[in-house]
Amino acid sequence: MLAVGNLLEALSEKENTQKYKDCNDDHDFGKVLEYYNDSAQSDYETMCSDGRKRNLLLND
Amino acid sequence: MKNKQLSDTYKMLYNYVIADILFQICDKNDDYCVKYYVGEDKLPSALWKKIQEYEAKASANMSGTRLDRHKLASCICGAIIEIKPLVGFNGAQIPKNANEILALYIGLNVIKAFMMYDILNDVPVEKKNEIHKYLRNNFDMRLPSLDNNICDSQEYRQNIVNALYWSHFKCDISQKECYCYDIWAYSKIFYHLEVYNKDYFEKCYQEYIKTEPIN
Repeated sequence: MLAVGNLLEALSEKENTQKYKDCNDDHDFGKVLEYYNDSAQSDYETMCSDGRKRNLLLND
Repeated sequence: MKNKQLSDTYKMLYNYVIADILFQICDKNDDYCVKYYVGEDKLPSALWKKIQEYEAKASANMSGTRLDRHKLASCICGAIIEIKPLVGFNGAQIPKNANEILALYIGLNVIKAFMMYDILNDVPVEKKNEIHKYLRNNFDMRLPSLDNNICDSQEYRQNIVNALYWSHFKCDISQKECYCYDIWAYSKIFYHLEVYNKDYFEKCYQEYIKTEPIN
């Protein structure tokens, strides 16, 4: 017979389709992106669909 | 929606990752351009709203409030597929799956951002920015190749891009595009792609260390 120990163990566990509890250990995405601070070029002039070139960067 | 209403984190994501990649694509190939408007919103705002929709769906099944890197990457990937930032300039033909390719690689760059943050944890403060810059500019996230293949006759990249492309279709009844992107399934794919890239990433970091030892 096939090896199904892991499957049988999964089926014997108490049903848990409720909410995840596993998602809070990762880093704050904002802090992760702060390291890119020195990377953005001053000019990302890019062709847009209306035929005009524009700087894609968001300004405050 | 004005830029002030976009979160600071999203502005950084847009400026440092999305705009960078869009610029490089359009700069390299004149056939590509970027949508300026999506409906009534400019592209950054439209994409922000769509990412928030996906994050809300992902968060609905969570007990916590912060999405992990794989769910974030997956939500951003799904949002880009719907918004379709890339279009052909002046009617130029671009691949039908161009936005799926874009979505995949932006998702991979989100994962890469976290991988870089992880590795910087043990690095002296004065070296962090330099190492981050090196990894940012020298490490390109990989996908398994036919050499790693088990049974496919087609490259992994083609397979996954096809899967993303087929995650949406025109509904025969409503005649509208119907999106069936599975945030959670793709979250696990991004997890496996991070695991796949771990050793290559570490090797890239070690190449830096050889030339610039950290004391």
